[in-house]
Amino acid sequence: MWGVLASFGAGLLFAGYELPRLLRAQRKKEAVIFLMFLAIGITLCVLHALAVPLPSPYQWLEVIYGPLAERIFAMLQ
Amino acid sequence: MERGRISAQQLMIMMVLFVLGDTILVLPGSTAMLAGKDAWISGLLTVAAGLGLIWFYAAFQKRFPAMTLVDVSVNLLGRWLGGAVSFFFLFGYLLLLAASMLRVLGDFMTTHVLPNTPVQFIYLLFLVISVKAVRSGLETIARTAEIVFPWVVMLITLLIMFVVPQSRLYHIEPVMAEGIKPILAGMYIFLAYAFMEPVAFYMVMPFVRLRQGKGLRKPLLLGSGMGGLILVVIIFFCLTVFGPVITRESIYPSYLLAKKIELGEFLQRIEVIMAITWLFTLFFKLIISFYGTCLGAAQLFKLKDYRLLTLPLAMILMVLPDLLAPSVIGISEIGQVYPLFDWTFSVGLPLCLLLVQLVRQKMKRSRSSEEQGALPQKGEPR
Amino acid sequence: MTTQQRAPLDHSLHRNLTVIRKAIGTSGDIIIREFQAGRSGEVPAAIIYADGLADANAIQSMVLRPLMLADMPLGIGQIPLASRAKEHIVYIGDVEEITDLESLYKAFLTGNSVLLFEGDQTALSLDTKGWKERSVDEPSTQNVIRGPKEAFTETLKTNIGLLRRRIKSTTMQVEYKTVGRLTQTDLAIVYMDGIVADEVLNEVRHRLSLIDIDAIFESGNIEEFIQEEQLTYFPTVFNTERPDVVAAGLVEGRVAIIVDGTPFVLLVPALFIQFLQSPDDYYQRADIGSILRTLRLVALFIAMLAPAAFIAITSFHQEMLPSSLLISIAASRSGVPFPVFVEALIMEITFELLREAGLRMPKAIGQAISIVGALVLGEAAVQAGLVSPGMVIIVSLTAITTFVIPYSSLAVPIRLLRFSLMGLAAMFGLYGIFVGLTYVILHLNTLRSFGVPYLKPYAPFIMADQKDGVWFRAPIWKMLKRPLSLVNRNQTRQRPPVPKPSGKE
Repeated sequence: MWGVLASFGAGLLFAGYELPRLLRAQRKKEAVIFLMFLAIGITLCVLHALAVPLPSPYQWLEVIYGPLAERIFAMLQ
Repeated sequence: MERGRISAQQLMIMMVLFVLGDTILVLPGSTAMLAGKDAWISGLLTVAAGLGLIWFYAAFQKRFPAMTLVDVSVNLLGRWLGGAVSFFFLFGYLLLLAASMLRVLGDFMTTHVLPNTPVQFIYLLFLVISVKAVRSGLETIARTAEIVFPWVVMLITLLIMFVVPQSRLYHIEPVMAEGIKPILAGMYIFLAYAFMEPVAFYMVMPFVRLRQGKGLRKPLLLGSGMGGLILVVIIFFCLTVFGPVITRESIYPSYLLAKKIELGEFLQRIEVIMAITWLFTLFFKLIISFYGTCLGAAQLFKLKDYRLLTLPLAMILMVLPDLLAPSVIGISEIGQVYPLFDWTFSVGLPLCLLLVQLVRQKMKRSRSSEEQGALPQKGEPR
Repeated sequence: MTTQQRAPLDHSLHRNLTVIRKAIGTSGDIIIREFQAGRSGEVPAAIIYADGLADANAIQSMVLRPLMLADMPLGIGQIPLASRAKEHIVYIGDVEEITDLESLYKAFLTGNSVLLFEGDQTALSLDTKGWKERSVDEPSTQNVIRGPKEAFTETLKTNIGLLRRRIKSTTMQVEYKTVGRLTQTDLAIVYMDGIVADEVLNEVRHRLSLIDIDAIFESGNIEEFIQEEQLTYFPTVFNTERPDVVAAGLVEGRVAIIVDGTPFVLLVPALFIQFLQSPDDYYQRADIGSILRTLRLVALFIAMLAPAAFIAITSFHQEMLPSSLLISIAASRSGVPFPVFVEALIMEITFELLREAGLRMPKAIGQAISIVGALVLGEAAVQAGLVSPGMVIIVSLTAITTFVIPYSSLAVPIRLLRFSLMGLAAMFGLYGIFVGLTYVILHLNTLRSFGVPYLKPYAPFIMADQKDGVWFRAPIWKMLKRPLSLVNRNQTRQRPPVPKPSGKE
């Protein structure tokens, strides 16, 4: 609950901090990129605050490099 | 967009702090797990190999002066392929590295120092100063490193001094009883964590102010060498004070080492002060990776100011560390696989880029014999 | 400036005086004395001066007397009377010719007296300044054990004189400026030609020229205008009451800004380490100076960290204390109803209040209050169980060490930081202190003073400048060069060989 609020709050704060400057200088493309990343950030934070299970990058690493690692360790035993 | 310039000396100091990063906390245990009581030999060999690797970094950077890794990729591979490669480097590798630093920090603090504090606050505080650091620019980061460095060195020296009387050489004997294979296994992690992860410096090296005739090689080699040797010393003392069994069973043997400091009745259990050492080294590894990510992203998306993405990326960094693995055990288990990840980006990527450049040079030369083999755009980075 | 004031003077004395009288309005302290100059009273003239500012004696004997006794040439309007008066008659050293009303007003408003002659469009501004000023006294804030005890006064002229007494070289340049539309405050920019870095000097001139405000009363006002960083507690402009400090700064390549009306002189560029250096470090022997400096550095850390460390250790890291100490602290805190942080906060705020009160107290009562504050309040508070004795000790330690910092401009941010660190320590223990300190270090590294990084010579680290650092001071015969941090020309201060007693060759 608090986590969700904090996430949105922070997101708003950050937007309020960076966006006015960007829009005043007509840097729309940058504003879009900023908002994209901010959206990802807010989403992640909110989901995490709601204890939604999210994918783990380390697991991806295990999947990608796992077999190779096993073979290397086999050699080094 | 980064108009700051740092000196060679500052680069060296940042390199030492970066190399020590999480390794000072994590490596003694992991290396001992693989190499047992010969872990210190692993260390020495790794430093030797690692210096070669660093030499390669310096040489690579020399071929592409004033260009960050993103610049080089985009230049050699074109906007789309180079962009994709950079994207993976920045958000797949560097950002993950930063998140890993935070995770190590969080795990350490919640298990040993502030057990009652929710880890989000630990992340939050660290991110506040990290964002402040990255937004303040490379020069500020470099200068802060210069200020902090003597203290880190002093603390480590004190640690060693206090611990020497308690070390027993029999713990590491007989030397090389198990043969060379465990030692090589130990090198597997050590080399990756200590000498490959500094690939992040590819985002920083273009901004070094070099004097006539001097190159990047010396500060980089000195810095990484010093860092590596410090690590070897710490591993050595972990082994000789506790023995290999305890060293490999504990997750943070250097902290255990710090617990051994005592001076009479009154100066004991001050290991928290020692913890400041790795708070600083983790901090620097984090901010240099974070800085690299932001700067690279700005180059990739052609942003005017790299500081734009600091806040959104910081939000992502609040969550990423928790996603990495469900528990502390997971973090040390990743040590099996992570080094290969390091190999990919730290050796694989530069080698490929180098290959592409050589091929292009050959093609250019064969296409027209009058034209000089043109190197990609040299010039000041944006 | 209205067009009227830029207007040139009239030939007719009467018309000039009418305009001037109108401008002055009802100010009774501006005296307009009309008289007949010349032995036989041939030339109508007038002298204008401000009663409290000008030296009436000088006017009477050096100006009126010779004018009334002199042979004035006849032929009003044909001969330049003002310049003749200036060259032959008036006995004043600093005389200027003025031709417009604005300069005329400025002249008598600053203590000069103005001479007007019938038929001459030129008036004379005579330096007859002579007001009562405070004598050259001991500095109120920056005292030393060994060293000169002179301090600047509120008069620009005197202060420049105090500097000239110390630097007897024509390379010391003094440039005058005026700021403040209503206050017309005089400023002097002082620097050593040939040592100062031109970029700094030009930057100073530039920033001062941008000041456009009604009133400048103190160098602090100027400081706010010229400092680079607005969002920081830390001072990037150095100020001092001591002429020896300013002179030393000038010789190192700094620029001094003296403001009329205040004894506090500004020095730029300002580096962090300056605020921890005291002049007597240099006047005592190098080893003593070094020890004192180290002591001061330790005091700085204690002043900033003591309460925070206490809070952190007693709340989060009790294992760090030896068991006997832990037990006694726990025992002493047992009756206290507040958590450590609140207790510390109460004590610190009380102390700050006492401090502020002590500053403004009439001298007679001041002593009594300090005894009351220290003994009675502290004792009483402990007895009442409001605070623990340990906390009283910590707060007293903090108070004492804050006073060790020689310059209040730095003491203020340290005090403020102390509270933030206390808060962080209360929530996160030593980790909080780590974060707070790191933030401060990052912040300090972003500051520059007139282009020079604030933490030079530590970051960027300049080996050569370490000789005069925060904790160390090399003997004077080792200080061969001026600080590399500041200066880009004429680096050599002295040449070897090192002096040795003659017997030892």
